[in-house]
Amino acid sequence: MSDTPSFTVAVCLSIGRHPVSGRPRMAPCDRQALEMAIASGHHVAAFHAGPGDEAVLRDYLGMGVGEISHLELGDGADILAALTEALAALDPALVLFGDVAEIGPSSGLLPYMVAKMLSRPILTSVTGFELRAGELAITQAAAGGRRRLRRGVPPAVLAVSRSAPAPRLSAYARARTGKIITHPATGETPAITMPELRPAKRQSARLRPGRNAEAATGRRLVEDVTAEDAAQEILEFLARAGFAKALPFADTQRAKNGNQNV
Amino acid sequence: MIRQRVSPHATARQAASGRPRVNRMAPTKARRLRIDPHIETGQRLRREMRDEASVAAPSTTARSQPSLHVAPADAPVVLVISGVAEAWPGAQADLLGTARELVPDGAIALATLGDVECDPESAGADGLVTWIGDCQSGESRQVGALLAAIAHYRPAHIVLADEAADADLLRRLAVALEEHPALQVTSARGGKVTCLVDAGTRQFTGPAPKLVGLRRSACAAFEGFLRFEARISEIDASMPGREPFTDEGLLPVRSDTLSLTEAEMVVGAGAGVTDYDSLFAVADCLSGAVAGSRVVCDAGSLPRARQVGASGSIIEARFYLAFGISGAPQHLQGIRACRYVVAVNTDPHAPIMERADLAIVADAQAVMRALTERMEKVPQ
Repeated sequence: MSDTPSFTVAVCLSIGRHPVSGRPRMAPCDRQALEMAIASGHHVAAFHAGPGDEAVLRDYLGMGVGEISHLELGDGADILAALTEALAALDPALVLFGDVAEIGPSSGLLPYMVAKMLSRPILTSVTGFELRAGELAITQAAAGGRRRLRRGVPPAVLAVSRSAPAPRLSAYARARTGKIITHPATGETPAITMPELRPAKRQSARLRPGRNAEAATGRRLVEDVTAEDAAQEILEFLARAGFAKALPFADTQRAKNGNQNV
Repeated sequence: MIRQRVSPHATARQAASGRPRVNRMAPTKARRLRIDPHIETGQRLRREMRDEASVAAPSTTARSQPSLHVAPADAPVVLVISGVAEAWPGAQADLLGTARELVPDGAIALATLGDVECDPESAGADGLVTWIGDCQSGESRQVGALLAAIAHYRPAHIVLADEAADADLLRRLAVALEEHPALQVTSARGGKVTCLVDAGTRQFTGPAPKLVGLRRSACAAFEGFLRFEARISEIDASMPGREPFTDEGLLPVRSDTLSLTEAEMVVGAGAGVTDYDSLFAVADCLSGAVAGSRVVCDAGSLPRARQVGASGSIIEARFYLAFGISGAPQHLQGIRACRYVVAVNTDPHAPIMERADLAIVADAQAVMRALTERMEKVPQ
């Protein structure tokens, strides 16, 4: 990390909604994006587009960003044009987003559309980045909690994963002293038309008859074995259950003839 | 209303509702009507489900070859796309089946960037893409290859999973095609889709757009007794141009930093563990995350963030190895979603032994050391 911040990192923050109380809150993934930007040591420019909620924006300020540019738009307005215009004017090295919004279509499409309009490459599921001297190293969440290293060059658009490091807390004093700079909407903004909505039904997985191959391992209690045999037993069980790392150790013949004292 | 109970010993009978029911357990055809479901209990229903399963999976000896289904030339095409890895095990077959439910008279084609993980002829693929050139390395190359497949088939609908890495592919395609997709689809049949919005709290139903992103709960594989053509189309995936981000591979796993909630394998320690070096060695060998019960975290042997259970993390690891854990109810709550549990404990009556798929009565220290030793002298 350089001592003098030489790049600008823009973070787009949305207003979230608490899943239980329904009250407005900081969107958790946007907090993680802001945390990532602040921790990088570069100059952070925070944006919020939409109707806004001062209490929530102040919570974001409390995390340590000096000011937030609030692009004021009506309820349900499409924020894409206004946000892209503001980002294009700033021309930051990186634009960070959370994964999906908690209100509205929650489609997760906004980062992709902004990237297309700014003609910048996009990378999603980002859990960390390092930006120095025109080089960008990104860690990306992969299956099983693994991390993949990607390299590229700025400028780029990044969508942060929920597996990113936990955000810092919001400090009251900083929330009070931070500035919200409101930019009123210029011109007409098209609204997003949503069809008639109903409360979501609880979804359960559809029954799949005839596919119970997973249950093939069976339940077993193994007693009076040496530690070595117990270890072999565990490896063979894991191999049968499909754990790839255990496969080289499994002796399939022995696994079949194993004592079935359930 | 007084419900009349019918004796389960009569031959042909009707249930209390008056509707005749089929008794699949009956040995002969003469006794195919089902007995009163209120007298027979749970076990009975499960047996019936197994019966359905055996019907759904036809044996080659008992039944003839399935008849060949050929889609008419003018049928609307539905292109099913799967990424380099399946979004979930069996996702390709599930997506093919759901695509057929969405457009019952359509021609379904499968384009997968990775391996074909299902039998396309029985899963319901009328067409199958094989690629010429590299279609895997990098997002823009993947999207380029899929756009070539879309240009080839001109599909009415494109169906993907809105889960895992396929969700990224879906959104990239949506932006490239300038189509507004139906995302987080929980039901897709007969040309209509139901999508979740507002972070999954509300939904709407409407006609299916060109791009459909299905959640796993919306999907079911095709179970009919038909064979499909799986006619192969070769598509040129060799794209000029440079990937904006290079892939430097997966970073090495560290058992003490690997996220508990994301890991595939979690190695848990309870009060029965004294040798923590062995515990970490086992976790490193298995590329797993280290976790602890409340007792262990209270004692300071592992950090609080590593606690599994009601007051710690609720984990969804596929494999959970419990060393020296007795299995308090609060701990068992934390591992409820784990698919395979192996427990090593000196007490055969500990609750975890009941929960475990493989329970071993032995001292955890010795087994951990033996396990590490066994895995360090790799056969290959």
